[in-house]
Amino acid sequence: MKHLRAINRKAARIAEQTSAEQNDIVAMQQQQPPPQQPHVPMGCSIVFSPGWEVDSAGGTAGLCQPVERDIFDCYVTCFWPAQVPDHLNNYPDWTTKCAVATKDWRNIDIVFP
Amino acid sequence: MRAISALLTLVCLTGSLFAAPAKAVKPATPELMYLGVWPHTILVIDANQEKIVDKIDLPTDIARTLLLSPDCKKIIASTLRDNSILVIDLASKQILNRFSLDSGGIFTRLSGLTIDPGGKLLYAVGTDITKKTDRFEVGEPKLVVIDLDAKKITRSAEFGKEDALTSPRTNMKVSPDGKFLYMFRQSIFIYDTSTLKMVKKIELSKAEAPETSSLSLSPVEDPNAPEGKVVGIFNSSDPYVHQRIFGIAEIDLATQNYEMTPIGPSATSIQPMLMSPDRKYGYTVAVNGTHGNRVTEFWVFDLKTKKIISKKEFIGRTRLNFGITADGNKLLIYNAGYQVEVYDAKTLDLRSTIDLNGDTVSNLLVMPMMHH
Repeated sequence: MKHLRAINRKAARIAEQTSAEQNDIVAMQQQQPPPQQPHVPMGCSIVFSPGWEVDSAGGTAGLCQPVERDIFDCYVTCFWPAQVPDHLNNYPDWTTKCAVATKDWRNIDIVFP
Repeated sequence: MRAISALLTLVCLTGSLFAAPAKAVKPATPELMYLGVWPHTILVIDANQEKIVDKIDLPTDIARTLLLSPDCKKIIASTLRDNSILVIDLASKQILNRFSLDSGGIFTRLSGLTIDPGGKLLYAVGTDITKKTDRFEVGEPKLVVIDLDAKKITRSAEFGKEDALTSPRTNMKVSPDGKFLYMFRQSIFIYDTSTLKMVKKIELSKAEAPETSSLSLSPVEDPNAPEGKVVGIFNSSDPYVHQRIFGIAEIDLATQNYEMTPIGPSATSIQPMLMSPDRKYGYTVAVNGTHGNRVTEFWVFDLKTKKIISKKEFIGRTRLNFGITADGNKLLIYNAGYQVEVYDAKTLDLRSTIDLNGDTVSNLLVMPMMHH
């Protein structure tokens, strides 16, 4: 619709009304404006920088502390294919020797795809 | 005479002093809880001792979902890699039944697993993932029935337009008579278990009071709940100024009646509410803010007046699950890590931290009080 432009007064009023319906006009609300988001494409699963993890604000404050605490969910629940091996199909045992990633992450297997 | 009297008093006092510890050392009945950890293990935790007392090794992969059988004598576990169902006897810690749902290059992933009151059927949302020569093809999620005796999916049904799944992560519960399956999403969808067809939809978003434009409910499995009743926290927003509020919803699954009591402005996220066994108090964890500005608090509700009676901030991990012991005396924080933090339900102070020696991979299963 960006290519269409009202050229007479009636069309301008229609455009104005349509625009008003699309906008969320609310009264007496005290909502904060949405915070500016960083340009992280599609969250963690499409970030193809090995070893680089950021939260949705582009920082690390929203990540698990320490970051190894969350490694299980990187390859099971979230399935983070760019950074960690694939547990379900190709490298099922890559963390078998590492029960607690925070403590013994050195035991994680090195995988050469 | 005074000396004899003093001596007698001393003897009595000494006796009582020695008698007191004898009462204290009486071993408390274990309050058992079960939690899956990496790798391939279910830990048995005694909530009274606040430590691990036993473990069950799984032969295949990690347990993602743990269910308690209706007689509370068995655990049903679903595992991740091989999509297996395991039935584990709690007395002997032996695996009684085990089968995989995968066959011929088709992998069936489960979510929303729940058990029939008869203890022989499982209901879940199953998604078939077919291995092709160059790719995996992900099928549409279906409602499936798993027969534990037949060791396979015996029935399945596709979702229609009206009840189409927007997310495979869903909560389900079977009615006490086993005739209906309740699926808790934006609305409550009720299925006839004999046909797997939707027979009714309770549109929570059309609840009249408070007026809501959108609403979500987070019920949990509560062993102390009256039969067929669900109590949980709802979050909603009104259609005019879009103010987000939360409250307590009570739903009668038999009559499909519900009552919603708004409490206050909603937090950024609120965990499902867990209740004390006498159902006088409800507990939840509310998170306000995001990332580095997160503030994590325990909230305690008086369920009679439906009011918050206590709040306390604690150092909450970024991603957490919330649990409560069967006696309702301790609150538990787990998930995203290898520890369970134990808080006192009265003071909301940290009591202890249980080291699991393995990263958490499943839900926490708490054995109800009557079975200890």
